[in-house]
Amino acid sequence: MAKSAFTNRFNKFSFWFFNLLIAFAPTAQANSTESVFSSEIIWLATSIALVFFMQAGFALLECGASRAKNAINVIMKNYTDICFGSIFFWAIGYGLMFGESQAGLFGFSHFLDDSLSNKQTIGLVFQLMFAATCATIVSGAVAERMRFVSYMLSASIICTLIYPIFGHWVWNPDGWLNQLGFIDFAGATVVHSVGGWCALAAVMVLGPRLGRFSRAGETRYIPGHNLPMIALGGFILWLGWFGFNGGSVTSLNNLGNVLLNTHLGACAGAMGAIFFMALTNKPIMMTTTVNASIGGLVSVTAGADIMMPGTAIMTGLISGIILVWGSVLLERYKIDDVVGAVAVHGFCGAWGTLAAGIFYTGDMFSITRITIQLLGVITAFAWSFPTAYLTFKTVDKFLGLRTSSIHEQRGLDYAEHYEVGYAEFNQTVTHGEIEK
Amino acid sequence: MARNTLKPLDLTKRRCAAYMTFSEVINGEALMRAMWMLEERDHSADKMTFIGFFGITAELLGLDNNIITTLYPKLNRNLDLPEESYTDDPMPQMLKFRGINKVNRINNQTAEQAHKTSVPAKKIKGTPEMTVFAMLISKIISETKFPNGNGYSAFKETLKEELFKTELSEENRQQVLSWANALNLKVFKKNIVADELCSAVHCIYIALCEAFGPVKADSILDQAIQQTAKSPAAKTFSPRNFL
Repeated sequence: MAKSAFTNRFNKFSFWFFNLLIAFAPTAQANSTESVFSSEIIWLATSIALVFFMQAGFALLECGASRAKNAINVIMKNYTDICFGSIFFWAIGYGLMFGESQAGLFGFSHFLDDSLSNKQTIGLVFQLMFAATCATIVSGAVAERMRFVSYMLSASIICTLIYPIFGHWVWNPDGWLNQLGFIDFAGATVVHSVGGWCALAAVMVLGPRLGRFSRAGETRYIPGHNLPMIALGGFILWLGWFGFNGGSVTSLNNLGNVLLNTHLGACAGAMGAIFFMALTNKPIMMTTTVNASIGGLVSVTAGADIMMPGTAIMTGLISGIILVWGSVLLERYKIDDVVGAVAVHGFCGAWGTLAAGIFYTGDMFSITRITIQLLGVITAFAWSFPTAYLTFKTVDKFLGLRTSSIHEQRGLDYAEHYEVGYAEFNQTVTHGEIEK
Repeated sequence: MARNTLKPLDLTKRRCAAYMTFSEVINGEALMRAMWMLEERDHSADKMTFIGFFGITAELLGLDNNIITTLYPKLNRNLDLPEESYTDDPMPQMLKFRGINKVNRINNQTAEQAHKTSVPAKKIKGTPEMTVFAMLISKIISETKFPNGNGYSAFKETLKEELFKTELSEENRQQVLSWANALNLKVFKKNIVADELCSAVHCIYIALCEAFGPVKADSILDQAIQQTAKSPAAKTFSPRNFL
């Protein structure tokens, strides 16, 4: 009975809906250019939502990879870096990145701009999401030991200065790397490598967590408190990446290829890491597999629009191997990166950018193209690492970058935010009683 | 069938087994000192913990690591021997070494009885925070199974370094350092104020991080806090105040 009522209602709705479509069809055909333009706007707006949702993915992944006593702190860093970063990027960063170019080095207009057209504004919001993504990469690497206030300040500087300047070189039509022919479709280098190198600078200034590496050289594994949360974060990032890469298309005609390459890159990244771990007799770990699929996504980001599915798979497979190898390399140098951000975003981003030159459809293995790509990769490191290092050192000097060891013992949730992540399990030593 | 190694060892049995094992490599005053150091360890220790204590004691005596390694299986075997296989209880010799004669032993509460009837922390008559602190660190040590000599060395060295970074008075710093060297609560002759005790606990935590890694260190401190919190003394002063 209920079912038939529903069917009747559905039929009525369908009838009116299709009648409306037919009624407006001639107008839509007459304004086909506007229609395509609207589709692009709608797709870009959808992509903005997807890229924003990546923040949730980062938050879950980083939170799960941290110990329970730091869960709130990690979430807070992810939640607030987009708040601070967005405002600073809108006020200053966007002008530096997309403003009128000054000798191809930086832009100088559109500061605090409120007079942009609708299309430009949508583009600005999309870029805001990218800037926030770049900053949030750092939060995972520095988890469990960096002061909240210092992090917010550093993240703001990344969004205001470090990311936009390099972004100008690559994505502003007058940027010097852009002029040379450097390609980075959706930001494997501009967003991810820059974020990864900033993260590397941060962890080097901060030092490892208490007891992560013993003086005798032993490496201690510090498991996260919720590994399924890492996997869920990975899935959300994967979903968001369809907007990250998909939103960067200049024409919707190429959207299918971009989305396919994005998906295949992630799959191949995970496969590459699994094969590599199996072949080198390492345990096939979930955390590494999730990271590898994200590494795959990062690596295809540079050339998702100009690669064929086969070469996207090749790029992803190699990035999976680079991810595993990169993590081992960092541990060997006693660099404590909680979520593996440097390997995922820094190393895989650099490889992906090179791969975009190597596997450029119609001009594969072009030495000139590869050289330009290599120049871009080196420039990204040469710009972002020293500036980030200087930033973190300066913040350390004036504000203090690292939390005190007693706060590290208590956990940053309690020490920095006066809240605990899991109040029901407050019996543990690290979740001290809160007495206001 | 697997033996239950988690139950506390019989005190006489563990003493005899340790005596048999140690007497193969040391004798005289060194042997007696070693026996007393072991005697003053946690009396509720299970077999594995006691073997850990044995290793620490051997290391404190300055025995070579290779020799210590050969002693572990011997002690393990000796602890499993039937009762009739043991030589005489070495306690009389140990008491003699400390200058306590048999008459005193009968008339007064003997050192052995004192050990049997008291938890090490209770020996300190002091402020509530001092009592709780002593209980807490004795629980930490009973939770701590130093896997090898290196672990214990790392613990001591780190603790020493960390203590010098704090604002502990020199006297109190020395008290904590002496405790770390002998793992004996008797070294605490004077009370320490709560703030300094808090710093000392934090230093111990960092030393545990160095010796075992942060995950194990959290677990050890957590267990110790929970156990100490159950004691009557904790009603006056909560061990959580040290965190």
